[in-house]
Amino acid sequence: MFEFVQALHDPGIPFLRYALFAGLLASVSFGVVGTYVVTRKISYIAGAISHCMLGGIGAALYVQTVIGWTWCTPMLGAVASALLAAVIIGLVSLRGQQREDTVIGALWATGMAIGLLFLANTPGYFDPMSFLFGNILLISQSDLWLVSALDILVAGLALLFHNKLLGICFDEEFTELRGVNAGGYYLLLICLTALTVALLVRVVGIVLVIALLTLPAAVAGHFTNRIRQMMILSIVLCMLFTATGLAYSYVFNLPSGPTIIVFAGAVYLIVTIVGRFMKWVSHS
Amino acid sequence: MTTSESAVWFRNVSFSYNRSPVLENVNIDIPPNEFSSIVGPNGGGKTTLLKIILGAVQPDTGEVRVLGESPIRARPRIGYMPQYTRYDPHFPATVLDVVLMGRLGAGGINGLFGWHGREDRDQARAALREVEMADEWDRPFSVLSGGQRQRVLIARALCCQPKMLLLDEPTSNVDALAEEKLLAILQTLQSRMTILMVSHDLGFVSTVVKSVICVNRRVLVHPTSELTGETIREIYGGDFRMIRHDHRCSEQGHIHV
Repeated sequence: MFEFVQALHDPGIPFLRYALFAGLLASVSFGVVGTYVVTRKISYIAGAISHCMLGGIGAALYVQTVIGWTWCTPMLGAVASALLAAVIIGLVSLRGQQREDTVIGALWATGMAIGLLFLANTPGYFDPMSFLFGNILLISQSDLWLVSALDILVAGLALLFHNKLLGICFDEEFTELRGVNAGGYYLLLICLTALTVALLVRVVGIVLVIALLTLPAAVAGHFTNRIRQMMILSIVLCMLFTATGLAYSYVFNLPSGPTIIVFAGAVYLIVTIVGRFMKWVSHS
Repeated sequence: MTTSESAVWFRNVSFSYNRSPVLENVNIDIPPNEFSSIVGPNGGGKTTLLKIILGAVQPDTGEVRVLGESPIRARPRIGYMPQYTRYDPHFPATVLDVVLMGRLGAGGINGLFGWHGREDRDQARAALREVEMADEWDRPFSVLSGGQRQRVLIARALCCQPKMLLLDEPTSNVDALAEEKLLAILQTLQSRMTILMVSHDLGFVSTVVKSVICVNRRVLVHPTSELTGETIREIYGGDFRMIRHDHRCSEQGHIHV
C-alpha cells in the first residue's frame, strides 16, 4: 500500500492522482443518486443509460478527429448521450404508450452499436475495451474539471430536492396527488442518474459503472433503514471501493475498473451472506 | 342539498375504458361528515370512482363536484391513503419521513424545494398523535407491523388538514385487532371530516359506517340500516353466500374475507 501512496506523489504518473481524485469526488454523487436508484428500483434504466454512452463517446471521437472540433471530448459526448438516453427513457416510461422494457433494451443495444460504428470509422486506433471497462490512463485534467462541476451539480440538485425525490421514490401516485409534478421529478432523477454514471466512465467504463451505482447503496441498505444514513454510508463505501480498488490495481498491476468492481462485488456478497447467516442464527 | 354543501356530488357521470363502460350514469350525493364505505365486486369500478373523486381520471360525461369545487381544485383538502400492497417493505424511510410526505405540495405547503419547517413537523407529529403512533415517529417504516403501517399512512393523509379522507382498502393485510383499532381511530375523525373508504369487507361496513356506496357499473347509495341481503345481491349480481358479521363465532370459525 505504501507503494501506492508513493506513486500518488510521483509527478511522472499524474493520471493515478486524477483517477483517485475523480473517484473520491464522484463518490458523493454515486452515494446519493445510487440510494435513490436502488430504492426506486431503476438500476436497469441506469444500465441502459450507461451503455448508451458508448454512442456519444464514439460520435465525439469521430467529430474530434474527422471534423477537427477538439473541444468535443469523449467525456462531453458521454454526458450528452447519457442525458439524451435519460430523456427518451423518462418520457417513454411517463407516457406509458410503449413497452418500457422493450425501449430500454433497444436503446441499450442501439447506443452501443452506434458507438462501435463511429469508432470503426474514426481514423487512428481506439480500443473499445478502454471505454467499456475503463482506463485511467485516458483521464485528462480537463476531464477532472468536468467531473468536479457535474459532481457539484448532481449532488447539489439531489440534496436540494431531497424530499420530493424521496416522495416519488416511496409513492409516486400519492406525491402527484399532493400537487407535486411527480413526472418532472422522475425525469430529474433519471437525468441525475445519467450525469452520475457519466462521472466515472473513464475510471470503470460504461459496462462496469452500474455496479458502482448500486453496490454501495445495496451494502449500505444492510446496515441502515434510514435514507439519510444510507446515503452517507453509500458515499463512504463508494470512496472505499474506488480508492482500495485503485491501490490494488496499481500494486498488482491489474486493470483498475475490474479491480474496483470485483472488490465492491465481493464486499456486497460477504455482507449479504453474513446478513442472511445472522438472521438465520437469530431465528433459530 | 345543494352542490356546494355536499362533500361529493356526481350528476350523470359515465366513464368507459377502451369502450367498455366502467361507470354508467352515476348520481351520488354524499353530505359532509358522512362515513361511507365503497363496496362492490373487483372490476366493478370502485377504483375508478375513487380516481374520479381525486381528479386523477376525467369522466366522459357528467358533472363532478368535490367539497363544492372541481376535483382538481379540491385535491389539496383531500387526504388520500392508497392501497397497502404498493409499498416496498424495505424502503428506508422513518415514520416521520413518510408522514411528512403528506405535507408536500407544489408552491403550497412547503415551497419549491419541499424542505420542511417547524410547522410541517408539528403537523406531522399531531397527525401521528391522532393515530396513536406519536412515540414511533423515529422508527423505520420497514420494521412496523401491518396495522402500524396503515396508521402511519392515515397520518400521512391527515397531515394536510383534509376535509375529506379517502381510504383504499385500509383493512386488507391487517389482523382483526389492528382492524378494530383502525376503525376506532376513523370513528373519532369522523366528526371533523367526510370519510370514504373502499372495502371488500361487508361486515366491516355495517357496524360503523353510516352509508354504503355500492359500485358495480351502476352506483347505488344505501344507508346501512337499509342494507339487506336483497340489495347486496342486486349489487353483486350473482351467486354469493351471505355471512353474518355482527356476531362472533368460535375461535377459527370466522374469518374475514
